Amino acid sequence: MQELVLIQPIRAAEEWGREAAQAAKRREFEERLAECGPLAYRVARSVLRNDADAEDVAQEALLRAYRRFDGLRDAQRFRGWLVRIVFRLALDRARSAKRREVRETEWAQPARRPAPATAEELAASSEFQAHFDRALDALPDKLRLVLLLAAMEGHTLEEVAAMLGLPIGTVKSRLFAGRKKLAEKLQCYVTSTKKR
Amino acid sequence: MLCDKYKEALIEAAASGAALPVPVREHVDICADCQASIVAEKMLFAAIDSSLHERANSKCRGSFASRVETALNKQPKSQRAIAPAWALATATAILACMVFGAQAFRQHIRHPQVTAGAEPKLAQANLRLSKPEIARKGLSIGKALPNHHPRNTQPDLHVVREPEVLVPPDEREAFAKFVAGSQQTQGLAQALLHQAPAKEDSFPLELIQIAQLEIKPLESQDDEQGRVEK
Repeated sequence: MQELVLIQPIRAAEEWGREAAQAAKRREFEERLAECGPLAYRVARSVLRNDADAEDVAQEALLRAYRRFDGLRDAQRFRGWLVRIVFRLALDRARSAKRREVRETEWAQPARRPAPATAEELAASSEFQAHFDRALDALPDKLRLVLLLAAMEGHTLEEVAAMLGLPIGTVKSRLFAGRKKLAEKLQCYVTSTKKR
Repeated sequence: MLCDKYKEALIEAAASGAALPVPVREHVDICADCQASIVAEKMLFAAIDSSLHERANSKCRGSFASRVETALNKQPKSQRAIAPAWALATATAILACMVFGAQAFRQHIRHPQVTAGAEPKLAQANLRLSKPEIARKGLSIGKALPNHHPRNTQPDLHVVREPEVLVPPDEREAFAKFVAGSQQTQGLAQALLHQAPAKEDSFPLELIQIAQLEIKPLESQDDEQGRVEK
């Protein structure tokens, strides 16, 4: 004789509906994950400069996004939200890491080094990289985020503007201001190049 | 000294990649120092862009997606956000107020003479007022009359209970799906069974009018009938 179970039809239907909705949400989120996961990682990595930390932060942001996915189904809104939350989480982690280790903030002109001949040589020099990293970290957050997003492959300025919910003019002006501020902080390299 | 005047314009031109304004260009053409300056500025901006590109385009490891999926699987099934402490505190305060309010209300009903104080006098005085007086004084009937809330002391015996059915364990999901489907189409079925409301006003239809109708004798049919008779 077959065993039977006692169920309440309405409750069982409700449970089934909830599970089906959950499964649909999960599928939809996985699509977004495939699309936006690398973006989250890149934003975190560009702030933290460390693979493990970047993965942690990107994962945390994606889990938060999953919890709030019902209100963020629109793809463009989801990307923007994800970028902002990753950036904020990465900044928090970078700041807490900075508190732990006292960094030397040496902005003095480096003493006697051979001047680089080309932009590639200059960018490749570890000294320039260290200065560049510090200069970028010291930029205001709103300028830094625009600079990093605009530098990512496949992002037009219009896309960056849509992602951040800003007018295109604001993105352009922030981009210009950010690059100029970086150049001001790295002026010592211009002087040394001129002296060649 | 003269070159300092053009320094800002040189930096801006190097940053934006735009052409130099005519007076600046004329100066740069004759000034070797400014020529070197603009070359160095352009080189710096190129290095900045290159470094930004490198920093912003790091590739994530292949294991990252699977790592996130594993973390997602560990998430609790119910995705209700955990309420923050302030929300819990507010909810508790509201609940406490409601409980105390309900208790005070019950006491007021049980012993109206204790809690009401001077109210009965006012109520009795108001009872003696005529309707125009009540209207003039801006009193409502409800306010003028003493509150009377007959309490239902009988327990509510109409407990709504959901029916239960016995199903084989392997058909449980299919049954739940069937019930959910029937619930979804319930509204449609009800709409189909209900008679549509008459909407005479919304769609006024005019009777079709035929101006002239010419009726011709069916000659060909008569001919055919005659042939058959023959």
